[in-house]
Amino acid sequence: MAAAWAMDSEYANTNGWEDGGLPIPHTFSFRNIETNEVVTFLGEHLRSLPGFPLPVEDTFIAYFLPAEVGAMLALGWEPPPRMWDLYPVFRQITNVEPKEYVGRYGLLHAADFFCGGPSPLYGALDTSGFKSDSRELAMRGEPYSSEEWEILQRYCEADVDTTARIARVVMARKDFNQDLYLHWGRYMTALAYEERVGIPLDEELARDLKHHASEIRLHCIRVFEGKYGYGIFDEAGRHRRKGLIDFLTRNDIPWEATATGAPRTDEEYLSSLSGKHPILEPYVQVRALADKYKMLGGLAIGPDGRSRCLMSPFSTKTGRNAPSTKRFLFAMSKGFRRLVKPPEGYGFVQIDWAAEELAIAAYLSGDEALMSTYLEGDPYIGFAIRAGAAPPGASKETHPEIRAIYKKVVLAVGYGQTEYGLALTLGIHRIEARELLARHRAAFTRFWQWTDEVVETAAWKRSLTTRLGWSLHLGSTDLLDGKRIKDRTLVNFPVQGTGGDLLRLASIWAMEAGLDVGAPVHDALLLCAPLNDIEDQTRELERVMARASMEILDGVELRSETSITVPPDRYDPEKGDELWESTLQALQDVKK
Amino acid sequence: MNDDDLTNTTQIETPQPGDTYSSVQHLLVPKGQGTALPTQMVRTHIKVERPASTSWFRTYSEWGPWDDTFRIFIHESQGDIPSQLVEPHVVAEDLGLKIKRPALYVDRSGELRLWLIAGGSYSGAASRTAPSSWETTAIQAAEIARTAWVRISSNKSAGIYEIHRVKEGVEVPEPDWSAFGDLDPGTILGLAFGEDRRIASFDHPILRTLRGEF
Repeated sequence: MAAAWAMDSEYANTNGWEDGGLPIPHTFSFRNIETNEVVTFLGEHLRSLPGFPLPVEDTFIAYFLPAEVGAMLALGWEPPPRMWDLYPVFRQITNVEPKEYVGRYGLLHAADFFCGGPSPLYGALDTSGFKSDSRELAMRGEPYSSEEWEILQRYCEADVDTTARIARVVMARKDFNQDLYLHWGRYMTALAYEERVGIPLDEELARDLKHHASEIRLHCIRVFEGKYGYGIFDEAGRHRRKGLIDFLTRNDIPWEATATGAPRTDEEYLSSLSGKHPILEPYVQVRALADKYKMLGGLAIGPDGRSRCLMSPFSTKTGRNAPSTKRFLFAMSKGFRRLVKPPEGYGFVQIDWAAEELAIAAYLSGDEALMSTYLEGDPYIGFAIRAGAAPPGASKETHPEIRAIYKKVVLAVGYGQTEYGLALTLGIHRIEARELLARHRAAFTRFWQWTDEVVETAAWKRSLTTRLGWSLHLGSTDLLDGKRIKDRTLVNFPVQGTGGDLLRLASIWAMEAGLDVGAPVHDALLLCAPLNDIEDQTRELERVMARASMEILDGVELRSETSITVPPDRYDPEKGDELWESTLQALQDVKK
Repeated sequence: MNDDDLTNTTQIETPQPGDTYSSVQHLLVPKGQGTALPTQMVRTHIKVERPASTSWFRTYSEWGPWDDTFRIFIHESQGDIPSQLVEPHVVAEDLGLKIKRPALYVDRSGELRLWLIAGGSYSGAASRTAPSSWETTAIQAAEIARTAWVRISSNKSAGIYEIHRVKEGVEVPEPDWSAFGDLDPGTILGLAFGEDRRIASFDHPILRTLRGEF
């Protein structure tokens, strides 16, 4: 009978792992969930193993599986097919709205949550202290003394015992669903493959920009203060609250305060205010720009010139990834994506599902009119035609302004925006925004009924579940008091959650197809392929994405849009030209 | 490490799927089970209101003011007493009741409302005053709205409703009347007036007051 094993590995980061490099594994430990047999491999012995050392038909359980799969791949092992991960299970079980679990998501936190504490094998009162010291030791890398190897072995075996203890509790739960967990395990495995590929950068320029990011930020702020003299930033580029208040007072600008009495400086508020007070516009722009450069300074660049960082899978309510906006290039401003540049002999491919969320909403709601607008090709002009704002046969080319407005309405509905938000977005009066939303309601009656049904279902079942099993649970407070949980959170969940289902399945299938996907990005996959095979691999990935949508959406095939970049070109995000040009100029200026 | 190094050191053989991918059909939650609990709002009231001049509307075509025989009698509000629906079988004499010709309509936001088109005063037996131009044009608008989206605006100097309609050939979605449940006129009038605003007996205090019995 196949056994189940908990597993854990330790690796060194001397290869730049923490900054987008790849791990050097030196310790790998397994613990049989039933018999408690422990098998640990260290150093050279580990690296001399010809392949995965345990029966591949067994089941392997880890806490944050991409780390273990990353270690397997670094060791040249083919990962076993049956693996699951306690991390998404922990995320899933605590995915409650309003939030009830407010702790963190490390192994020890999971141990506290499921078992009331970690393994006694840590053997010290200060478990987390021992863990962080040992982790530092592991990261330092070889050579190790025999005492250090002992510490590392104890550390890894304590982690694996903790993992086994959590696994036993999870397996005894009535909501235990091994098939689903194995599927998520496949996704975590795919992520490990994707992390190995990474995103190819124009390495020299990327390092230059990263290195000078804080100087560029300061340069922009100084140019701003030199030109306008608002006195909001000091010489070191720090934002001065007093400077801001003085500026507002000087210019008679009424200002909303936060609970602490400080002026509100959030982006939404600033944007709304700058519309009324044009003098604020340069300040709003430089603030946004300074934030962008701050993020650029954190960009992950590996020693091989590729960018890779933790994708933080299952980290949002909807189960989608939430990679760091400070490290992941595709979470930063679009203009910076021009740093993507395939190396000689390779091409970079991005395939996006087009209007994915609208199509998912049409499928889930069963709104035939909404699905028709998607199938007809341009859902935004389709809506405008149905609302009587554009004649039959209108297109993006013939009615660009109308289309832009109706696109914003469609997106606003998707985000659950009210007439107030839409009025702000479109810069129109609230009454006009109300009429536009009314047109959407009239055109897509079934969709709006479905949104009511989603809220009712949540109230009835106390949870919502996507097609591929990701759930949002409702907490103990009253759903329908209208205060604690926003309807928009509930209505947004099935659409975004299904988008997450799709991306996970496509990532798994891309891995199974042997495609070198470098990262998943919301509704897209990024592929790095050798030029002599790029056409075939692109077609294969398109096929993977189309079939993933058909699998989950009962045969509905989502369209995709493909862009291919080959050397010497750099990736063109079709937006952010101004940011890119001004960044290069600023780089030149600070290097003078 | 350069790109070649990366390729050379890993030597990973990724799984090859052949022509098919691993299906997840066994994991799929049946559509709707996860999120869709079919529900329907229980309608407890329908607002009585003329379509606003800014509102496009469609009328329910199964019954309405275009049918000459379909009219109702209203005792208009007086002081604290709101207007009352007077059942036809108790209307036997001239009590100053108003004749109304109801049209059920839905506007572009999906709100269902009842429009009571003024049909003059009831002056005994089957007689009634001649229809006004307001009444005539309102009925015309209601009838056009059976098949097209219509908007009305008042032209006070001419004493008529001006009727605007969406041009023929322009595709505008039809209202989904089935979503509103039972639209029988009895049900709709019941929802519009409620039990406490219906006069169904000769002995009703309002009728007795009108007859001078108090």
